[in-house]
Amino acid sequence: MFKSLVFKEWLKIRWVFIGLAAVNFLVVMNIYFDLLNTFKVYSANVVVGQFQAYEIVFYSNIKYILLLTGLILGVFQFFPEINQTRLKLTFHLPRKENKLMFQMVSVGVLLLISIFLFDAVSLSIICTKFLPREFFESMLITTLPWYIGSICTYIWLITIFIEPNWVKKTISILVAVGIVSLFYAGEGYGKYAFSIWYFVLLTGFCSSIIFLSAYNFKRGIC
Amino acid sequence: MGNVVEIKNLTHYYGKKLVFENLSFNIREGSIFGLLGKNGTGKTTTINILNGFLRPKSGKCLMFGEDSYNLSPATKARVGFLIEGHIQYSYMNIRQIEKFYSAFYPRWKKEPYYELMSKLAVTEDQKLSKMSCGQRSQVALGLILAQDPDLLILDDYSMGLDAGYRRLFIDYLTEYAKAENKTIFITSHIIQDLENFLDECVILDYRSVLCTMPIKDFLTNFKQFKFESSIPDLKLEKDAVIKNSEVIKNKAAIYTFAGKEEVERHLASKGINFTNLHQEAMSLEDAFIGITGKY
Repeated sequence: MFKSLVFKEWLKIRWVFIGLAAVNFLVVMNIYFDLLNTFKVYSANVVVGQFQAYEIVFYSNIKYILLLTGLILGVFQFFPEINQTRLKLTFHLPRKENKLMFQMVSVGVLLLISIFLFDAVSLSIICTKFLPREFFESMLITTLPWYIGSICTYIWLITIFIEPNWVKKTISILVAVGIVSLFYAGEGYGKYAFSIWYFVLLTGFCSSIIFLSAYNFKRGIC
Repeated sequence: MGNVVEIKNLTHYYGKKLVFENLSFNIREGSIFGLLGKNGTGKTTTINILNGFLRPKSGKCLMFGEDSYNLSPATKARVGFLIEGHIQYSYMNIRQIEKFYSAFYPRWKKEPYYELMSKLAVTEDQKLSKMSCGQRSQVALGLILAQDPDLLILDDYSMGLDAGYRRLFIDYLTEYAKAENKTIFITSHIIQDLENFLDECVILDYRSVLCTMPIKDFLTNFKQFKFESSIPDLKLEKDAVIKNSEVIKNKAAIYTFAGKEEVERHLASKGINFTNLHQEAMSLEDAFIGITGKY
């Protein structure tokens, strides 16, 4: 039955997933060609020195693309569920509602992770090709909060979408903006190295709020 | 035969607005039960409560003996649910949606679904979003029939359908559901379609229940009497005998569960003079409008 639910979610978001993967690919390619051109014009020592002295994050283009990736996937996956209260159809399936909700969200998170893996592997190859190993390690630590932030954005978007009460919806939007902005606030290399586990825990905690919104959806607006 | 649905003293509010109070009725196994009422009387609210999509302020709602707010997966599998407006996953095509649902229901029978689809001018890879409202209604019905549920809950099946699709819908329900002793709980705003279909009905008014009874009893016992009176500006108040009335100039119609003689005595006791008092035959729709009023 999970396979069948995956089939449903895939039918709904396959084109947007392919589109988002393509955008991420283009951004990574853009980073690669930018770096290639820079190394053609300047010597490696100058480039590395400049990057270190001014904390130039040469892959920062991907930062807000990751945020948008989570946001857009959430919109395309859950807008059809909320539109005409189609989520009732899913909740009427002979499974526990929380289990169905968990499985739907899992599909979205797995698709996001697949895009992130592509980005991370591509950026790692770029880093190791052009720059010393320290840049590769620092890239992983610098980008990790952005990936986790994208998942957190996706989770909050679902929470906000399915919450039927407008007051709670508005409060959720404000809280979501505050929390998500934490993931993207750091400038420079590895600023959040010591916060990554807190980000993971925070995202895990935020995930549980989805079930509260799903409960409210089922309970109806009173 | 036992009751498939038991609703006891159900009361619900939206904010401070009372939707209904102490709504009670049972749906017997194998019966076709209609929930009738004008717009805004709480039909969809009742159906949402019944399917566990709304928690009532007070009262009990049981489906197959389970609290409708906490239905087990096994009980949900026994209930086919048509959402108002024939809502379905419109991004799927005819084949995909059948494949999707079939994995969830152990008693799935695809034959009635594809039989119904063969009557439509559509291909199997046509998306639901590219279909007409009538065609989508048949997809939704076909899926419910394929699910082979014991109870079918159909919320305003007639919404947006022309006469042909409405007839097709009822014909298929009769063929597959009524013939197999399924229980059907149905609402519709087109009452005349249900006249020869329903076994029992509950008629809702704003905040209250007007009547709950077998449809044959309702059509036999609920009557319309017309008469003429010389009283200028005749006004007929609702009471134990007069359930509703209409007055146009000196011509009046009253709707009642009483017989002709009782009506005559009642009018006389109220000092209303009348001539030509006679009973007029009513269809279900006439009777529905008679008891609920036109406004």
